Amino acid sequence: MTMSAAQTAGAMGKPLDTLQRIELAEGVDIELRPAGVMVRACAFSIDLGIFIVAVILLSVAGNLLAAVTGEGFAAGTMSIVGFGVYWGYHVFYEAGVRGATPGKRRMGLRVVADGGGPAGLGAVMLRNVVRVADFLPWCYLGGLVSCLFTRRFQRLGDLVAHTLVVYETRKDVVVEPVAGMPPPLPVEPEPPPVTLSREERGAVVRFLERSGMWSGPRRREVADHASGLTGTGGEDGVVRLRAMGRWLRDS
Amino acid sequence: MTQQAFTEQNQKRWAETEALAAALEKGGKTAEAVRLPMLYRQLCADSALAQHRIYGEKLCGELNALVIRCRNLLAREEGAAAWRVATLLLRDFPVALRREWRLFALAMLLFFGPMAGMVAAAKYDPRWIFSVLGPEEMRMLDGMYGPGDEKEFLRGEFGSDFGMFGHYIENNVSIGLRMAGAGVLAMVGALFALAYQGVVIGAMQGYVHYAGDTEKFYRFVSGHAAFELVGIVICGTAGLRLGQAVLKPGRMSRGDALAEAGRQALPLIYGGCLLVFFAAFIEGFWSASPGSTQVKYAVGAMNWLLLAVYLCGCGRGGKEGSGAA
Repeated sequence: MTMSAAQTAGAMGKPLDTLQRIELAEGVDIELRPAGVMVRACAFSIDLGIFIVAVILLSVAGNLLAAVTGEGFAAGTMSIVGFGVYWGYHVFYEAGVRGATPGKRRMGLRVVADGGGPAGLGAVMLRNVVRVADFLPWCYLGGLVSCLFTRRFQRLGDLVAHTLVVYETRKDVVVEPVAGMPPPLPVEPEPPPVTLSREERGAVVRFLERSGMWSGPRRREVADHASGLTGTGGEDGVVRLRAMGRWLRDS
Repeated sequence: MTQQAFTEQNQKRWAETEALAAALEKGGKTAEAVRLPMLYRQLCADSALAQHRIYGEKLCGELNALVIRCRNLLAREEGAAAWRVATLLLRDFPVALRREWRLFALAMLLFFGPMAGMVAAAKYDPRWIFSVLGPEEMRMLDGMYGPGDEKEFLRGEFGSDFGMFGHYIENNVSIGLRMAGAGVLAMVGALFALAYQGVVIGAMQGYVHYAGDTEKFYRFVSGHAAFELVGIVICGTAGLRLGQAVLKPGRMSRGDALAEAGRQALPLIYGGCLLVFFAAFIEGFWSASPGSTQVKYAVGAMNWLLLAVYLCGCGRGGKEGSGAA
């Protein structure tokens, strides 16, 4: 029997997806989903918006303060507050309980140590000091390149501080058939012909769960990657793969 | 056991765990908190089972998210802030600096070398200084340190000391932090920034030698010079340390080397910034105050001595291999 695509990938040590599996001392694996560039850029845009509003409000407050206490005192206060906001905004929120700035929280992201635990103050400090380098040469190009070339989408600051930005919740994963997509054919459970590794079993079960969310051609395309396992292609492959998924999940 | 039976059997406990986690995340103190470790262990067992039996993505995902939430609550660093600050100042920072003495020496050379060169230029070829400063800057320096009355020392208005203090903090500490961060680009950011700062500060000093009142100048800067200049150089050293991991990772992968460099540079960043911060205090509230030149010079010299003793001597004889060592 030829090796399945999943087996080939597994044998080469290549991950099937971006999930990071980390074994805890408690004897259980946790899965982290590192966040990609796009969602992080969205989070940053939100933070930037908040930042700009804060700067406007602060300058208004500064002018009011100047009227009360005089120029010098107000200028000093505004300098210190401005310094605190500029360098402290990210540090304050990311080192907090939620481990996320308002923008990251909005996008469902969180900063964690690369072992999955909370990132400490020191790590958060480092990743934000190195932000300067990530910004260079222009508009976070350095961070972008670094994210694209690291397995866990780490910008330079993340590499230095040993941190990751991950999805906090999995609310976005809805594994229910989508209306408008052709419902897949019902299948009877059927054991896979060879012993599969845990990742592969997981992948097959995920195919079963998600196949209702895709169009017919997409379903066939994905199933064709596992033609080594099903021994067939096209709609037959979809049916066989789903049957194996049911056997793995339900028995 | 089917997924449904498993869910029904444990659902209540999961809901309880989640409610407790949510309450603790809000920062509320509840007597129930003592139950968290036990609930967490049971949850871990459930999650492991669910993963092993491949109970579908939704259930596994929910359990996984809850495990992470509980773990974060249990692993949170808390308290002892004063202790950590004391450890940093009395041991980790000086120890880290002495460990990186080669990079520190390089940073000192890069900073004070150009500075000395520019001061020397005042004597031999002041055109160097003119080209660095430009007319605007020179007019300002004429105003501050030119011959004439000492009007610049009379920060008459209420709070103008505080105003300058704030400005020094924002400006100088930011320079230090940027230097440290930009160093990760194969040292280039820190190398450039150190030399650049050296050239600019040296040119200003040189210009005062050339055209101004040196006593006025040194009376102003002597009090805070030690902390400010060395603090900036230490921030630059931190940047060089980060860049070194990229250039010369040794036997580690570059990723591991960067993380290690981060750990070792962190006390330098904290320490350097604290020195600059402290210098801003002196610069804001004391340096511009009237007082005899001798006292100012004496305090300045003493600050250099104190700083040298602190950086060379502090944290020796502690437990080796602990903390930053």
